Amino acid sequence: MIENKMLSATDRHGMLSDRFALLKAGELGLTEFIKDLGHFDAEDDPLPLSRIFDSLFLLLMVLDETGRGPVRDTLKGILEKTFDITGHLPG
Amino acid sequence: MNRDALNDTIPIEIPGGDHVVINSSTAPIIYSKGGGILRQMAGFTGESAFADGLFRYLETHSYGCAKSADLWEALETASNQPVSRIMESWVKQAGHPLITATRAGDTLTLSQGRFSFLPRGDDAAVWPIPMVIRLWDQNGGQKVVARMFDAPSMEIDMDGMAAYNINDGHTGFYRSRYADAANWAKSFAA
Repeated sequence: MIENKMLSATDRHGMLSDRFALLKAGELGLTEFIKDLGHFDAEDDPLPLSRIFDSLFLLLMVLDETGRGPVRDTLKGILEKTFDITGHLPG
Repeated sequence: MNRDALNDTIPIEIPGGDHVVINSSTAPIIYSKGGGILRQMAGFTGESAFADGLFRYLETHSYGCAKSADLWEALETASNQPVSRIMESWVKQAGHPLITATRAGDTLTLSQGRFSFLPRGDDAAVWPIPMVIRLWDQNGGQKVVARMFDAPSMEIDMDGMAAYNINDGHTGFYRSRYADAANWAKSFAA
């Protein structure tokens, strides 16, 4: 329902927001959160996208180098797909 | 919601009539949470009834003075929902709930407690939560159920539906946790 957009952009944003809050509260593991983000590969709405990038940026700020690896890979993967979807002309 | 999930959060209105000083620490609660719980109410009553209540409130108190309870009363009359009881609790109780959903067969069990980033030791609080739940069947058909959740736990009959979202439109001012990972995947990632 995330991938085929059966959930509205507001719902997808809310879902990410809840999952990230649970992660910060220690109720959800980082691996599980990163796995969740894999369902947002085809995301093209700015609302959930902003939530994804905010969350990953915060994680990059607070994690050590070991933890940053999967976060960086996820960020790069989603960014590349976002550019594919939204269009990007490199300078 | 992030500010409200800290242990030192405050209620929107302090019981006893004491005034809250508005500053960078309290403003997110008074304004952002205040707006958030009004949106929650609008999601539950429906926008039309909510707008009717607002008009009623503005007309009744035009050129006069009004207090929060007057707005609740107008919304209650317009929507025929227990708005006063719900809002009194939400403006006077600090924090917000975490609702945990667990599905076993055709029964969806919801339980609530206070959400916070750090353990508090008093997480067993209960809010009267106006919930809007969306259910999907196997063929993509869907229905929306509005339920008042004002107990530590509540059961909902899934009536054969395949998937569910316990905060439709994300109007509810609460965090959701889908306790069964397989069910989360089935509901949202399928």
